[in-house]
Amino acid sequence: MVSKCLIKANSYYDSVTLMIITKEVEAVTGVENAVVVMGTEHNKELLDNVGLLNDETSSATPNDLVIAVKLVDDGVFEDIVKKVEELLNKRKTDGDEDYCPRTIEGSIKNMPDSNLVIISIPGEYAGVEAKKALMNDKNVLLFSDNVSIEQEKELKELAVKRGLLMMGPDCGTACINNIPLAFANVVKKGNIGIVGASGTGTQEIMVQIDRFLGGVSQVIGTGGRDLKAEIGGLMMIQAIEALSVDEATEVIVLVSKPPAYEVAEKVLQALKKCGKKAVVDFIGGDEELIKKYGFIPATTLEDAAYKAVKLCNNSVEKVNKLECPEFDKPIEEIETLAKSEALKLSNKQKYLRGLFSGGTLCDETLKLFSKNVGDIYSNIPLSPEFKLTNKEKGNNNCAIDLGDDEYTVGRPHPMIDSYGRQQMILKQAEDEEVAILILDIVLGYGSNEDPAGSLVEQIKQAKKVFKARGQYLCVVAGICGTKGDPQVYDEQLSKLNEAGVIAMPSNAQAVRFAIRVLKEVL
Amino acid sequence: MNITKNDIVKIGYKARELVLEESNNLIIHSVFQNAFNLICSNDFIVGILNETNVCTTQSLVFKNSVFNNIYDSKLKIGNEFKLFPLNEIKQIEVLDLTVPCLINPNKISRINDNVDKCLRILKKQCNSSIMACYLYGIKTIYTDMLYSKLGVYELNNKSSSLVDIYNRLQNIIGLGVGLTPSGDDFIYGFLTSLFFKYEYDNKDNKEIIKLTENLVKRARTQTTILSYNMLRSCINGEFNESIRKLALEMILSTNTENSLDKVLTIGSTSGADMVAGLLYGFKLLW
Repeated sequence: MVSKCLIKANSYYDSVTLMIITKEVEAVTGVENAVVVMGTEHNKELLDNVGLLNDETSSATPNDLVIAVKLVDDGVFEDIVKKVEELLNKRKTDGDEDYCPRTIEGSIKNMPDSNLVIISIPGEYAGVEAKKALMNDKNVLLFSDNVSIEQEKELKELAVKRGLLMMGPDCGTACINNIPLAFANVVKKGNIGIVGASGTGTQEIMVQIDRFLGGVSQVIGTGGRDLKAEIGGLMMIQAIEALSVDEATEVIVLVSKPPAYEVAEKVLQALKKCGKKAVVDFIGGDEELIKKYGFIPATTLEDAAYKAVKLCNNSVEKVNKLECPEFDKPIEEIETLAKSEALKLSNKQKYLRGLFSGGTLCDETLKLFSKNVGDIYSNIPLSPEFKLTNKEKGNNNCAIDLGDDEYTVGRPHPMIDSYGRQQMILKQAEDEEVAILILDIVLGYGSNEDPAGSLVEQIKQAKKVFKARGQYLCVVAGICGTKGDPQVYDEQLSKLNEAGVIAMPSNAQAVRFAIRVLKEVL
Repeated sequence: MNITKNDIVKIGYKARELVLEESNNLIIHSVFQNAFNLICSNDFIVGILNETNVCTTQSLVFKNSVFNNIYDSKLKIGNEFKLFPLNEIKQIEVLDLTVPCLINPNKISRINDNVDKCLRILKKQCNSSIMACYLYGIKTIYTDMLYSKLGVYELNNKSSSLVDIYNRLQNIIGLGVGLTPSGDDFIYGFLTSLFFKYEYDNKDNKEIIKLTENLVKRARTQTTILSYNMLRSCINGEFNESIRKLALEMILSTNTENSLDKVLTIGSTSGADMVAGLLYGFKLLW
């Protein structure tokens, strides 16, 4: 055993830092004992009592920080010194690159060439900080929600006046000059610019463009309320104007939930003025209005991407006649698979349950299902009479947006943390009438580092429960991701397949497949 | 730093006095996440804090937005720090941190119930607070020293003289973890209880002021400069707003949970060590 010490003369670190240092040092292999104290006489007496006093420690003064260790192995002391220096340097405030500004003004002073501020703080403070950024001529990505609609309008009007982008509030996805911001996927660079008032909707379009061998120039998020009457599409219009002068952008895609009619007109007028070809997906909105302005309406997010890629090298007239293929695989193969899944179901099983982390993917599912099958319940229903009656498990046919506020109180969003969805999967196993479970698996920056892996155990468990009852649980998943995403697409696919999940390359294909299975039993 | 009186949320008596002393050079001494310290003549420390911190007689609490702006001016240790115009500071009312006059206090039995309630809550702090462990007889590397210097807690004699108690407390100055070592926080909590007891009994506190002065004199060379300043404020019977409120509620009411929680959040272990000292004082003296 050998005693060593590190003394930081005249050094003051807050108590949390000192506690962290103690814990980190104690955790190093080869450390028998560690004491982190100020060099007071009584502390030196203590160090002597525990065999940690040496000449160096004796010389410490009350205002010196003493890190005394008893080591099994002398060799680890250098590692300890290095670790301690790293931890202490995190708190430096004397103007080097470790400096972390506390305010927007401080940040701007520290990085005067910056042109974008990303804000993610509690909503009651976010608006004020966003305004400061705009007043300093910085574009803003406002990730925060719980900003009032009045404040949102004020911020967007200010941004428009100053020729800036005010992305948000509640904007989770953007990709500017090929740099993903917040939740975003790694996609090929290209000539399609996307403006989205919907996070996962935008992500789905991005990844599908990539899958159809197209590329993305810019992705500009507007926040979910931009196309409401109170805001009037201010930021979507601003973004369209920005893309109109972006040389890299030749085709524009707009995506949002159905806007108010007058807002839709304003947006489409701005798109017309811009002069570029465009695909518009107002997810279930008025297609005729879109066609009236000479643009191409999309029926699904995948379809929007498909048509945008086609539009790069074809005329509007030609693309208008095209249909995105229903499935990647030949239809015969799909039908055979759907039939074989349906055969395994028992007579009692008749319901589809969707558990989604992405709100727009859930919304697309609701629309496809209600158009092709019938009534479907949700916490974000298409009409009030289909509001979910059983929030804990779901009821009838339903698709639940687990990212909605009521499911995320006190816990992270399901795109990041799978706990909530894991529990919901297990609850479906308690219901003998459930036939099909449909899930979205969202990859990309910001998402869970292993979305598929985090669910497979519960999927396997649920399937076991159904099997024990002489039943079968059909599980279908739509993967929203690209081969470039950090989660490694092929590994995610492999995990899903291994768990008996039928994985589809888009949300629309997953829903269509699930509908085919369900129709076999109805 | 140009400020207005609206920028300051609270100011302690001594801080105001030190800042207004025009001949006083205030030099940046140490900088932390939510506070920084200025040192001036005679080793006095003035704490500049944001609103998350607890106000003491030697601190000045700024509104968070103002504090952040000051902080962002990249404080450099050793640089002079000026607050002006002084007229604005003169207009601010100081926060009263002295022991107040106690009107309709609880009976001792009710106070003892409060103490026991707080002791039960303090027990949860034993994983981090050395002095809480001392009260509960939980062994740490400090136990033997504390037993020899302070005595075994359960055996502490209620009839010990004040001089004897002070002598024992002096033996733990500077002992323990943190910038304000655990022993000092314990002493601070104990002195809070002692000064309040004198007020409760309506006794002249000259004797305890003298004893505290002697204790603080020893602390000057035996502990950190920050802790020395913390103990120094006790000479005038002034205590931080949170522990003052806790002591008050223990004596006047039965609802102490909220104020206890506030004290426990001071530092990472300082609050718990202060509470340990406060309860030790209540058990020994009341």
